[in-house]
Amino acid sequence: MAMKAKNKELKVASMQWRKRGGEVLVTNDFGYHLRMKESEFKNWLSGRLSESSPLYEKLARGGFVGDRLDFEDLASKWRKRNSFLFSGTGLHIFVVTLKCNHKCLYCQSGAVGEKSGKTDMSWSVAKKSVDTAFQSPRSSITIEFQGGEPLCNWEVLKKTVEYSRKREKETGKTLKLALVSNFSLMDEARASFLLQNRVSICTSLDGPASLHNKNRIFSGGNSHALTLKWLKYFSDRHDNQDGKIPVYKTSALLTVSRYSLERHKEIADEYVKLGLENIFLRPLSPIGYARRLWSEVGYSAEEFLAFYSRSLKYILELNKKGVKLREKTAQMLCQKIFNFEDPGFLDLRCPCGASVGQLAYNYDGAVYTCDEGRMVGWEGDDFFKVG
Amino acid sequence: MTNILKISADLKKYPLGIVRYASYALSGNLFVFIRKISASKAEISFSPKKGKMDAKMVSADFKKNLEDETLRDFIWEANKKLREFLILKAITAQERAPEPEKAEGLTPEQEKELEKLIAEVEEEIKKESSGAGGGGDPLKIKQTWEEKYGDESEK
Repeated sequence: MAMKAKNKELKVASMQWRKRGGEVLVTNDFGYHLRMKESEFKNWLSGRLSESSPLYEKLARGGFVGDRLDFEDLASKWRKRNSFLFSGTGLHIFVVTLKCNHKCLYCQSGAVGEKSGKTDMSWSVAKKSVDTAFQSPRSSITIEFQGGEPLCNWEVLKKTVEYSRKREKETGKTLKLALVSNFSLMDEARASFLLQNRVSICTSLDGPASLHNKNRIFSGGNSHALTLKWLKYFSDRHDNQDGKIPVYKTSALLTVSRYSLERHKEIADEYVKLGLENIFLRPLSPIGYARRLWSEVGYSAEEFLAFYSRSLKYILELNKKGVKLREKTAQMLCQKIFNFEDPGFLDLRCPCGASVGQLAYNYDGAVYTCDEGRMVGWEGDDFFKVG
Repeated sequence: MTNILKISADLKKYPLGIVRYASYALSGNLFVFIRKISASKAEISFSPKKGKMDAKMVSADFKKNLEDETLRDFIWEANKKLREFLILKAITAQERAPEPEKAEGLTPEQEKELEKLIAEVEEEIKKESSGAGGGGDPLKIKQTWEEKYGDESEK
């Protein structure tokens, strides 16, 4: 095939392909893709595909035919797909403490017990971190508070939110604030402060109570019940907002452990029951506790993919019945495949978001390429430390 | 059925990079080990991750992948300049400047400027028409109707 192509004037533009089950998927760097039969693929490459055929026309429109390239369209598609390369670091993760009152089986964040000292971010480190984040050339930045459980260091978190909003006014940048919390230390006053300061809120929800509480061990009570209580609180505020200060819809993150694998329907049903419109089926990362307990909570890639496939099928069945629930990975991949867009999820970028898309500011002032890099640092390897 | 398959590859025909990609394409189910024996020969060992493998099938798959990788390499090289040109074009493209707002008429400053210009031109015309003692236009051809007979409204 190659020799035949060499003997002809090459009309095949830069592309990749993958053969499977008698079909070939061809793709290119500009985001176009096309599926065809293996016989059609061979005909095309050997110059036997008629230039007046509909398939040839599709190939030409997708930038696969060397002498029929639309330079303007292809360059613009490439730029759109890679727009993140031109704007600077947007996500700034503040690990305001490593302390946490949960002992999740899969914890990868390097959390320590509530009484462990010296793992809280000081106000001076937090202030410097905000100033550094605002040095980003981006016109819009996000500061995300993580931990540990960020509410364990409430006073610094509160001051940082206030200072960030002040810097927003001074610099003219657009600032988004986000908090990832297990809600166990949430109270009315804190919730009110967060809403007043337009902090979007995200929590962890692994499914129904029996599963959630098995994964997310909380000595102080029922983790699932607390999560539901505050999810409802924030959802009510979102649904009944007065329009003066926008209240973002609270979201939840799911971590799939071995215990989740057979419970895909219950998990999706729980999300629907709580009015959550997005579900993010995330696999475990073999870091921290998860690595140490891998034989108990871990699984193979094949097992996860089988779970993912069952879950997605069930979610699509729900969708057909009119239930609104989007699986985030599927949604993001569709955005990339069909809309030529980068969905802003840094793990799915090429190059990945390390430093160019995000920075993680550790409680002690060390800066890492990303939160995962910070976690690897906590495990003893500071390869991803950038400052 | 066997547990290990060794295939040798001619590096003069297939460069090591191509051999490597073609071998690793099968690494989903097989362990792959590549050893360069000499400048012109490499030996690739395949062994199954689970159970046993069909050596004939693996051998045929490897051969197909070698052909595919050769073609990939050829297409990649042949399009190198074009690809670089397109990416350079994408990187250096200027964001389109926002369209200027449609003018809803003249601004007060523009109106003033225009009136000033008209006055200057009229002045120049007057000077020209009265130039050289005013004798340059004895029949008053250059005079306007209004200059000759006055404005209609004045009547």
